[in-house]
Amino acid sequence: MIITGEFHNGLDTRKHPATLILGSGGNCKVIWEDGELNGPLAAARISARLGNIPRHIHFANDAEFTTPDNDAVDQAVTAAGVARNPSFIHKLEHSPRIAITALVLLAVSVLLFFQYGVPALSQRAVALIPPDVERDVGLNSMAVLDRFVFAQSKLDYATQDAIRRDFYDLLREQGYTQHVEVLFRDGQRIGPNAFALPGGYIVVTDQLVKLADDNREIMAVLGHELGHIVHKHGMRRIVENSAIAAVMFTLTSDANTIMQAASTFPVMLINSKYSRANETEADRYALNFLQRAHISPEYYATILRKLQKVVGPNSAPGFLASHPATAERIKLVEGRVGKPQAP
Amino acid sequence: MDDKDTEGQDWLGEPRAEEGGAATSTPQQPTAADPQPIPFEFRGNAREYFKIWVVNLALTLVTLGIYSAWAKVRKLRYFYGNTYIDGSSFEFLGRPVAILRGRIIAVLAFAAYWLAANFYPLANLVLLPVFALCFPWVMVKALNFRARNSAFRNLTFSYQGSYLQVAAAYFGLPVLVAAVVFAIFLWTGIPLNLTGNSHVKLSAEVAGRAGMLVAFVVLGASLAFPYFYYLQKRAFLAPRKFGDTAFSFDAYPAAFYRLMFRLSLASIGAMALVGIITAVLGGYSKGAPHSLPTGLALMPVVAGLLMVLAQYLIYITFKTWTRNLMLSAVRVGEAQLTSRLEVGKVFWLYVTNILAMVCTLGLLTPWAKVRLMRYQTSRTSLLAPHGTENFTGGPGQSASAVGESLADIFDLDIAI
Repeated sequence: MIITGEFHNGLDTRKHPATLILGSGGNCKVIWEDGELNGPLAAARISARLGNIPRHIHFANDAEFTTPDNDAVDQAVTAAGVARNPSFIHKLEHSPRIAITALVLLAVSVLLFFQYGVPALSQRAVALIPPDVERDVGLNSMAVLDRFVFAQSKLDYATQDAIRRDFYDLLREQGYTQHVEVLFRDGQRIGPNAFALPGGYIVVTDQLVKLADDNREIMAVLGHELGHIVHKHGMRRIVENSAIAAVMFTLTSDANTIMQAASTFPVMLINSKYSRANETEADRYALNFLQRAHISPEYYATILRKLQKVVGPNSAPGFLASHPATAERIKLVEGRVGKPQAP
Repeated sequence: MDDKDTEGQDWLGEPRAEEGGAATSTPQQPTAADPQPIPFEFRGNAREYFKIWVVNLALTLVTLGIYSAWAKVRKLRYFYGNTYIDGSSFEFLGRPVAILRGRIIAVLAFAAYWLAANFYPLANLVLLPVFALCFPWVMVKALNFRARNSAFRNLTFSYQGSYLQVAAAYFGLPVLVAAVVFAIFLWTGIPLNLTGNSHVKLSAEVAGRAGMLVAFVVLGASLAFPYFYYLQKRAFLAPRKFGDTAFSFDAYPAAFYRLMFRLSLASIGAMALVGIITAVLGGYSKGAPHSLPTGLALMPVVAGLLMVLAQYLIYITFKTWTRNLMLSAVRVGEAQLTSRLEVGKVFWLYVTNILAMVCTLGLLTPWAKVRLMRYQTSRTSLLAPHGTENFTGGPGQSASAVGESLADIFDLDIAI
């Protein structure tokens, strides 16, 4: 068996047209214009086949034989008994059918991962986080929010205390034992809103309290935030964001920075999808909470309607919004209004 | 000579008449003593690379990322092996295990940072400086790994940059700015507000003085930037060898200053043009609001799009000019490298690549990559007075020798 190629001695970059002759017993001989080299092919390091790039056969004495004739090298390797399947990966990469299979596999696994994998993963991961750590995270976030977003509450102590007492009473009645703490802050630019932080901290803005005409409206909002806390949505978001980022980074590692920047759009889509799912979950929790507390869900619908009036309808398009459309949320709540209350 | 190839084209990339550039064809008849530049050539093909890309991506996902090191080696081998000059292609020799080790270290470092950022933000006050101190060392290691595992006709490259050289090039400017700012604040007695607790109200006079000083520091940093950018490129390219032939980096800081100056002029021109077009369009649609309702509604979109395109064009211009300047400054012994990319063509390639990738959800990424690579390679050439066959190497510098010595434990390859 004869392969034509080039010999490079490893001491300079001169090209020596050469032939490699595979003899019996896997012994090979490389012959160029003014020299030759003998040795078993098994002792040489042969580069793996890849696309159409030339093969390099590196010999022990720093010399190499290189050839574009990939098929001949594969035959020689098999004939010399060096390896049984010398180009396994190349065969995977070469077949159009396998490429299409890989593509389908890729698409399906990414979709499944985002649909089921990430939520399941984050649920498990969050269960492992000790409560102390969660409380640290909550307090740290609170410190950041206090510095950059909130100002001290301007509500008088009696108002704050009435809300706290009402809410804590409801929690006690419902046998809720986890740590929960309601904090009041001036929301400034943020306006009427409430936030749940990891570790059981609920922040209510002064503006929200002023928007409500009845403490039961605030109880409804607190119920919603309690839903976020019970389902550990805050911690789950941290885990989910990281999982999405890791997958996206792997998928776009071959693309340029612009493509990586463009991939933030699907990331936003996925993030807001998880976020909307969390909001709906928290709304459901709030409704059950109100039912157990014998408060009509109408109060929740009322405060949602008021919020809609102040904040306006969701400005982001539906698929990008962090919350479901307020109108839809009101509809979900009103669906409960007609139903009989728990005895 | 440092700047010739960028001068050979105006900022939109139209090639102007060459002004006696060494690497271009001269009007005289070429003689035997007058060597011609040898072009580089990329022979990869999009269809072939697509299959390689998708199979490697699937294997990476199936193995939860572990195969990524093997995938990276195959990708690099594909691109090196398809880059030809004078009938021979390059070879990438890196072992996947070394790359895997580098990636594990990078993942661990990132995990530490992530945990700290999410759970104990204060820990990053220690972690980030430690990372910064390691950065030059990691970079030197990674560049050396890459160079040592790159071969042409059985001779390898090497990189011998030093920690200090890299650190000065990358951290020199930030450290300098921080020092100047600190000194100014100490000297003027303006309260240095490191905690961000901005309840202290500055008097108008002090605030004005502070504003002036900030403007002064920003101006100074912008003036110093081209020099440090030059240092970065030099630290990246100069301390290299091919076999035992040393590289040299023949650019001067002045060339980088000229480049930045022309870039600023071009940016001002482009922004002014966008402004004029927007104003004209705006005036036109205002003049006929009822006949052009959709045109009026689209105005902000058109203006925004123009702005983004103009800014991207400026970015591409910067990238193209610096690449030309940087590569054309490289000499390997007596052989002179030349890069002659045209801004217009590069811009067209990037914009169409992005459109193609976004429209196909990334499926055309391999096509985009091969296409860009083919253009960049075709515009690069080597003027080698003694041809490509007269480079030499000492013992241990052959590609055949690389795989044999068990690579040292600090082998890493981290993409920078």
